[in-house]
Amino acid sequence: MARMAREKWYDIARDLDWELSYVDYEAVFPEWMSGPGKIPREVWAKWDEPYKVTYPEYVATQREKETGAYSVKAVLQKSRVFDQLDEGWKSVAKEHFGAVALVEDLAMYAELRMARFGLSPAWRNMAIFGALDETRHTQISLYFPHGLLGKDPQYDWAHKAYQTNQWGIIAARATFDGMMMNPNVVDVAIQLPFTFETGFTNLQFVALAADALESGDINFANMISSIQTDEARHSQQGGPTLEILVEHDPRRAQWIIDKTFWVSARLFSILTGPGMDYYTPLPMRKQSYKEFMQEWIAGQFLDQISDYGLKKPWYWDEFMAGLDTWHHSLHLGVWYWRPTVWWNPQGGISPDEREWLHEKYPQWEEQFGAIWDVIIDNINDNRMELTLPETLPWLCNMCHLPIGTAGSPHNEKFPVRSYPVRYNGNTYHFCSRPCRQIWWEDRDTLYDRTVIERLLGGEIQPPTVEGILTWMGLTPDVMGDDAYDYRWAKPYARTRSPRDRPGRPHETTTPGMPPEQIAPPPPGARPVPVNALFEDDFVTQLVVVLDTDTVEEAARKVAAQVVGRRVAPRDAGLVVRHAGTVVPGGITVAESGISALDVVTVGWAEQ
Amino acid sequence: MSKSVGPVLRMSDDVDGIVAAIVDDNPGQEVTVVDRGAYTRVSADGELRVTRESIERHLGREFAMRQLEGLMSAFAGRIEMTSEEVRWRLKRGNPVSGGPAASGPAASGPAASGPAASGPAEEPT
Repeated sequence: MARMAREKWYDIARDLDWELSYVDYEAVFPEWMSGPGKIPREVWAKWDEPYKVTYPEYVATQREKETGAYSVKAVLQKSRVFDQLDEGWKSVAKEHFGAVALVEDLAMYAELRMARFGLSPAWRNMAIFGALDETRHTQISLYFPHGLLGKDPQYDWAHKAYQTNQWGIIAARATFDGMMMNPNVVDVAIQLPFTFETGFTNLQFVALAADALESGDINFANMISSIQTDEARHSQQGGPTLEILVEHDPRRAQWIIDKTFWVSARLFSILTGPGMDYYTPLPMRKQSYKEFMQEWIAGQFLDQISDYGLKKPWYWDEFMAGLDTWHHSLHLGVWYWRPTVWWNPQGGISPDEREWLHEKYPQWEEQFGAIWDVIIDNINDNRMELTLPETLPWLCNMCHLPIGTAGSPHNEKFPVRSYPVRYNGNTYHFCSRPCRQIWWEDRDTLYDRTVIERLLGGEIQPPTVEGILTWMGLTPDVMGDDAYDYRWAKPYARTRSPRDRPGRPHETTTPGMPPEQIAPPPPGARPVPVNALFEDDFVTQLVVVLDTDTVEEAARKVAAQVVGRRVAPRDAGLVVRHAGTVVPGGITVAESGISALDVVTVGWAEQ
Repeated sequence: MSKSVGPVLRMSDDVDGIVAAIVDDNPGQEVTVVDRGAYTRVSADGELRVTRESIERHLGREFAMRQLEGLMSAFAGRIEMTSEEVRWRLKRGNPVSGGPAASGPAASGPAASGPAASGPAEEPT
């Protein structure tokens, strides 16, 4: 029997709504959940979704998608395809599963919030499909890695990660709670479907599929690109909401997009960037992360927001400049702090890969090459302890990523530094001006304590690297190590003689730090945790000095976390800067005015 | 500055047929096809359409327009969908190519009135 075409009846059916008579409208759709703000109630009748689908169509299409994804999995499970995958590539998938699987679950709640509190019946209808979509995404993203548990315990983190306090997960939780759970649903519609799902998820689910297929991970490529076909539909509930908001409150619309875009860009520079430019084997890389970002974000997304009458975010030039640095810096950080992650980061700095990096990012060598050279020499001289951390990077109060990673060494415009602010008697540190501004404006919905704040607050016991790893939920069988077992560094061993290597520890300037550096101080001394930068390094770090230390002793404690590890030793003294001035080395920390949470910079004295 | 619109198709046996249908349905439009293996980006400047009839002709079988969803991972531009046709287009002409427009809707937005002016003072490192 021929059916009536959808467009002949759909608009009437999906507009089914009723007048409330037993309760007030405001009680059913309260401002703090529904969030109309300046938008008059009657305007919502105009809400019209561009991508229309009926329930029978939805069921039929989803069934076809599921059949496709699971039948490919069933066939490949019997093959040896997985065993032949590159270890670096596997890390891309492991990071993805842990960081994404339960965020899909969170997105289901966000869709349900819109399905309940959205102010148009058409919107609520579409959000129901969205919630069903996200349920599918959660299930498939847990089921696929579950089949790999017998091969590798790191896949267990597909389910576990989001329930831990691992630092990257805290960053993700802060971002997604701020995007999906804390705000009203008008804000959610602009943040999640419009900004995030038409922009950034394409990078992780479509662009990354190109690298996955090339790397031979047909199953993964098939799964993520199948997921994104749902997103292409339900992300369309953002457009009509944005159109209404732009008409009635353009400033709010611009702000929501600007802040969501920035925080998402920060997060994806760690989620997607290292995978594309370091973990994916060189011959399998379809494009660089920067090129994928230019294709999907800088071009496509910008066209889209301009089509709604909005302008480029105010920080656009800083974001574009960051495509050359952020993810390189974060890769270096993830690799150096590799025991704190649930995947095996691939170093990816072999001579061939380095040439590729130089070709794609002409500033890479100048900004990051010297640091990797120190690391490479430590690997080849078997000083592995210097390639592993003894403290934590200081984390941004907004994006929760290490301070310094929104810039790079030898970068005049966006240097490695903190952008602090004092508020309510506390010093908060930020990786960049936009992170600081976003936090300042919206800290009520965005604030989450960083690992550093929790550590200094005594929440993590014992306050040692081991204690921190345990607190983050990392067990020895899962803690990350180099995916290639450091093979990529070996070619350099033949090209340099040991005495030329800049990584040789220098007795006079690197006294080394006892591991109990953040343990209780001796009687009479008070610990002073500072946010310390050693010049030419790529992050700032937590270093706990004592108020009874001389400034020179404090400087050595800072140097011990950097010199010989990531910065080559020099036969030179150290100089300390605090609050814009040089501090004499002979006075004590207490006398110098250096206090807890202050920024302290240590560099080489002029020779 | 051109404003590309159009679908991004995921890997499947039907990609070539859909691309051929799009080319047929947009005479006079320069259709760009970029094949990245797992996805194929089909785009043109300003507007692109495809009809169910052309897809059926190229695939050689019946095709319900809803089935395009399973083949399309993303798209550029705004979409309009009926049982017979899908269109991708942008509504406005002025691209965001230069700096912030002085007359833009958020000319008095957060960049102007935000913490740079009233918010936290910057501290030296």
